[in-house]
Amino acid sequence: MRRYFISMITLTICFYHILMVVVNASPNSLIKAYLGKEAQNYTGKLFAQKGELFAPHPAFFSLIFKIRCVEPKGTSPWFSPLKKIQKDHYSNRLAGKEKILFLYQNPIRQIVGLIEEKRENCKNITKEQCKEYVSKEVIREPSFRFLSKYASKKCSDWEMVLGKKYPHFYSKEKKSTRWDLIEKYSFNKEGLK
Amino acid sequence: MSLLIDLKNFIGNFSLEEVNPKVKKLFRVCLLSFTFIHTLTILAYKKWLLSPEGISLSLEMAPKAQGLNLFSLLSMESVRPFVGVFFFFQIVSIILAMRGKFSIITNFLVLFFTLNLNTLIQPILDGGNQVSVILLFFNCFLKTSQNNEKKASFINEIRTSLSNGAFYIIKAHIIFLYITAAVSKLNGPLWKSGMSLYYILQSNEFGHPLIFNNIHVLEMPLTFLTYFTLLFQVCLPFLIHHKLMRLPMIFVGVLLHLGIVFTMGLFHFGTFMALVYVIFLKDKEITFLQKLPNKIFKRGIYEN
Repeated sequence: MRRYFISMITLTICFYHILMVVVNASPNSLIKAYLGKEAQNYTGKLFAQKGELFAPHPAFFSLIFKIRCVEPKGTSPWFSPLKKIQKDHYSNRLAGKEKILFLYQNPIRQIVGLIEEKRENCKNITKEQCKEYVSKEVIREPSFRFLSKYASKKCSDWEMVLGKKYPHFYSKEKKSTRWDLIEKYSFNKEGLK
Repeated sequence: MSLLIDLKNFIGNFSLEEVNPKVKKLFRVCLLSFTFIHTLTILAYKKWLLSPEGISLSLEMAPKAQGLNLFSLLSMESVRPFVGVFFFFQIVSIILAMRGKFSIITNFLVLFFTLNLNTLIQPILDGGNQVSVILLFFNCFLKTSQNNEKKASFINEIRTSLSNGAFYIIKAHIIFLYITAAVSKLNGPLWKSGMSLYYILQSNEFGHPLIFNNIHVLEMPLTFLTYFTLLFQVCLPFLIHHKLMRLPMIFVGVLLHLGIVFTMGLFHFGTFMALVYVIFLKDKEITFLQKLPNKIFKRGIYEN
């Protein structure tokens, strides 16, 4: 009898755990309206499963990250700081260098996304006002502080370009260029240029 | 009626018989090995990943804890100088846990140090890391030895029951992961049109020059692979329990994730996902794999 009792308690705990994880990850529904809060409290940060991490809407663009030094003695040519790491990563997939690339790519992705999001709010203001508004929002971001600190390590005064490059939409013709659309934003120490 | 009898036997044995102890053991070794490799990668690239700027970015991106949070101690400035100690003890506890020393305590320590160290590397954590901490938690309860006593003690029954519960929860988490991934992919227009891999693999971040320079030759294979991935993720939750399909599903799943390692360059995510398939094996298959080198070796001697 005792073993049945122990088994039933454990199985109930297991069932409750799975139910809470499923409810927490499920889209809005009647069940979520009843159990959502409890599920969120239960799963917390440890058990929450995030579906978006498994590429439902994959990022099909490439990121742009370029810096140039603007110093009294002259302006340097543009350089891409991650090019060498990327090249190493292409030649050896087992070295785990994607982690270094993530460290820079995620902030770039975040800033470019933020600019796109904030520009949506610019419908009723002038271009200059919009630039000022977006710039203020970007400067506040830890990601921007991170990238500007990185640029400051390379040169005392700098210009930085962040952006996205989109490949051509599928077509049977072979295109002469690799990219169809390039969206880029220039920054200096003060923010968006 | 027979279903009820089966259910009664299942409940009765749940706290008595350790389910697949060899599988549990191998799964633990795989999970701890992944954690170990991940830590080594961070240490190897600490110049970038643990730079003061990188850490401050991580701390700002980390979910804010209220009050003292035992699992993000490194977010406190006074504790941060001891980050080396956290790395050291994480590695020591991984080694002890692999050797089966004080199993519950050492596995819990691995979880404790991993969660704390994850606070400092937020931007580089991927889906594999997120799932690995969930699995590390349940790994603490896994028991990897079979009960020898005929009449189990009360403590032993609780221990076995928790171990079996954790085993099924780990399986459920992985299956649920595939359900979530499949459902969200089915809602993604690029997956539905079969063009997902065609576009992803053209990006500098998730592609490779060999692929994006030859994309015109690879259109059809990539479309096939996109639908195949989708089909695999939709079918896995059901077919992984099927007597005949289980092993092929494991084989394909491992291949698929190794493919992610080499094509998309996601070494840690791909390796982790390939390793977790161990949980779907059975003890007899592990015994067979253990004996395989011996069999090959002996046959080799006779042939010579």
